[in-house]
Amino acid sequence: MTEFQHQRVSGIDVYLNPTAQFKTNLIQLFVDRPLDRQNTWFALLPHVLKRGSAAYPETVELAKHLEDLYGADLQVATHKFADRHVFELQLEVANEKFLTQATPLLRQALSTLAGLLLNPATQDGYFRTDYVNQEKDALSRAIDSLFNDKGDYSAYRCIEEMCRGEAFSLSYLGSKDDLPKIDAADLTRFYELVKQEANCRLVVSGDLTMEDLIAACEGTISWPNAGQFGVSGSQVKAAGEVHQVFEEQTVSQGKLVLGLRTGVGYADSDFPALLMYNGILGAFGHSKLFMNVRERASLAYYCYSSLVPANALMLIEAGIAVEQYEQTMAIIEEQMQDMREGKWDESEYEKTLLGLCDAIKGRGDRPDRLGLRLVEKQVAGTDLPDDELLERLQAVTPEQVAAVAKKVQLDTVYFLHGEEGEEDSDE
Amino acid sequence: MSRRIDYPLLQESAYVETLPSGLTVIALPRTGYQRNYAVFMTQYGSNDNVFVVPGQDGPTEVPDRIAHFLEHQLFAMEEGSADQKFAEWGASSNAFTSWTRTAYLFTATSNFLEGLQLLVDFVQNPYFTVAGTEKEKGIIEQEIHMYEDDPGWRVHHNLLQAMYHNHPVRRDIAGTVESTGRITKQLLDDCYRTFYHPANMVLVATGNFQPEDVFQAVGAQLQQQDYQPQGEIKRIFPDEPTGVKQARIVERLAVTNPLFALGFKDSRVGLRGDDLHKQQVLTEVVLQVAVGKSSDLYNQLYADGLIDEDFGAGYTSYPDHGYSTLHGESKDPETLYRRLIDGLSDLRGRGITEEQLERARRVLYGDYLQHFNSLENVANQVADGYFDGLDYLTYLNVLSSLTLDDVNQRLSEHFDPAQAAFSEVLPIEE
Repeated sequence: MTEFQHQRVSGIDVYLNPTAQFKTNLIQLFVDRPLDRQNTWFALLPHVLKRGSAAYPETVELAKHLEDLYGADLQVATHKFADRHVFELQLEVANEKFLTQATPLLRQALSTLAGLLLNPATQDGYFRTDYVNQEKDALSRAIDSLFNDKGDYSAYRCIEEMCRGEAFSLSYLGSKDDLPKIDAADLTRFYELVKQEANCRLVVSGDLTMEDLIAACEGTISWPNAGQFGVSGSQVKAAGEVHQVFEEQTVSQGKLVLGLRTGVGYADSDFPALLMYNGILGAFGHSKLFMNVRERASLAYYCYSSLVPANALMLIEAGIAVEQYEQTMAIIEEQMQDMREGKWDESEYEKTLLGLCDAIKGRGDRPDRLGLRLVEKQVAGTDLPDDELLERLQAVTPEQVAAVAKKVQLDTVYFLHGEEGEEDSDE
Repeated sequence: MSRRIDYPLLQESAYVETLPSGLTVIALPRTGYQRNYAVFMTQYGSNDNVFVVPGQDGPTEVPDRIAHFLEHQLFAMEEGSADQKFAEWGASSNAFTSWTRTAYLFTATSNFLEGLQLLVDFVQNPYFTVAGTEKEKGIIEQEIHMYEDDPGWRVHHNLLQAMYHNHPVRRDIAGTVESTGRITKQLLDDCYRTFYHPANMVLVATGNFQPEDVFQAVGAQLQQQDYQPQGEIKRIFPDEPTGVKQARIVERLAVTNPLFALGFKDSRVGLRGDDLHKQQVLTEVVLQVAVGKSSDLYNQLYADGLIDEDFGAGYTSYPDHGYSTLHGESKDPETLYRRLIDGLSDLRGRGITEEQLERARRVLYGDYLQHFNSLENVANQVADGYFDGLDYLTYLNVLSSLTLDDVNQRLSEHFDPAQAAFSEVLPIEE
């Protein structure tokens, strides 16, 4: 089971997963601040940072440098957990062991990545106007692009409707309306503020020791904000009246997304019981939703549930024919009622427990996801290691699962449908 | 006895054994991994709908995309569904159908050898029922509708329709709701008998295990059946002209950002084995130089807002067809099309330099190591290459062996504007 080693160096929390399992080393920098109306500024920032550093001010020169480091792969992403907004700069580089020439790739990669975050390319003290303008356009298109993927769009819309008035309804990509207000000077001031108020974590998975890593960090990377804060815990909210949203587009398949409030935070003692609940209900191919909506009723190709643990939310998603809406809803409600009554057989329970254990044990094989999970857990106020989570899962009782089932409340029904369906309606 | 093959650059070894039934098993142990993964693949995909059943004289023609339907049906077993049995160990199973292959797979942190036996058991013992066949149709209809709404899939599928006149790759893998309706149990039986003989399949296992245990588990399972040697399967493909069918294709869907795919249909087909592998890697090098992150073309298009971070390029090839694609979203596909065609023509005129080749080599070297971290990726690629006599594990050697002359020759021959087709998905007009 992967557990990170931790040390605090120059204002940065450094986490290491020392492993010789992979042919590459992975370096991730995570920066987080409150998710608020400055979300567009924060979403734009890493995209401007990735364009160049003081050492490599031209994007094309930076690209050549990264390619010379055996195709070091630079990735930028933004996320949201609980009431925090997170951005990520990531570099994956070859482990030198597999190169024919000895090149100190990891140290160079760390220094390049730190340069992008801490010493960006500037002009007259501000970010370069050309980079800011190009990335504003790109972000605007990325926001539009969400509409292109109907599954992602539907889940996004359901959360937006369900969490109206909460920070979590704000997009991790920001809002197009803000973009005209942002210029290079403005974004640079925001960047200076971020360095004062945000947390910075460095997460490395690779073939090295903590001593090596700390040595590589010294003089390379530091973060002005040396305080430790921002642990706000899971955002647990109760559902009100069920809110229904129907949206029409020219699509051939309807996308049904149910938004639910679980009432269980990531750090709560009944979180393992919630994992069991979600597993029996909908996370697996043996779960009630897949078995009943797909296998027995042949209504859908996919039907599953998933958790948003730091916000105590659960989504149930299915792709169905428009005219099967009522029947699908009835079957889903029946499964949720069975959960409340503790109606499952021993095999459903066992398969779920084993399936969860299998997934948790296998996490170490995907180091790119470990860093993000670490941040998500810390934001939600939990540091439960995976081996303890396994123990707690084994100790969960069926009564505890049924108790969790009674806490879970339907909040929002979102249905994207084609023309044959019902007319647009809201509440 | 198994044969061991060492790959010094990767510091890995593979173990290969052909069992008495004719099945080749490839075991690739990896240290440090918690999970194990296996893929059981047949050389049978949606392209194979006209063929001669071994032992028969005339060709058999089957409805479009029966391979995909068969994939859904094979999970059924007399005593329940195979995926439910995998779940009893906490393992998870799945399957996929491509134009040329059908694959059954599972991943598990425990009971891997039992899982291997179950994998072989359910694929080698079909249990088709009329009721099961009917039930699956509703599910597949929804799968088809899901793809119809997926603009990324549509833009690619339309590109294939534009590039190919007759080759079955131009038709949809999942078929249409109508073609799915014509599939009967008898048709499933015929296709199954033809394409699922162990000699037409390969099994690749990777993870934390002893190779001999894998061969023994798979061998013991296959011994329970009496396999007679199977003759060669003759696949019949229609004649395909060298050039593209149409240069442009457009579809309108509920999208905000237009999508595009520029394809170059390969005129050099018919290669197998090392020759095919070399052509694949050469084309990847050429694409990397042409539109990689450090290329002038990429940087100019990005700065002009004509491409975004989702821009990508890739090459697909099999002995009977091959093509490369440059694809992504663009606010102005029309302008982008001209700029890409012109930019590639310029590069053809100038040629690739030694410095560009070396940089591309480094990028692809690093990319390959990165891909090698994924058990699923490695096993699927090894299995896929096996049928065409191509060893995915030798990629780094092929990459190192390419010369500047090879690369420039490939650049000149592959990016021929006469072989190009452009597919667009545009927003619905108000």
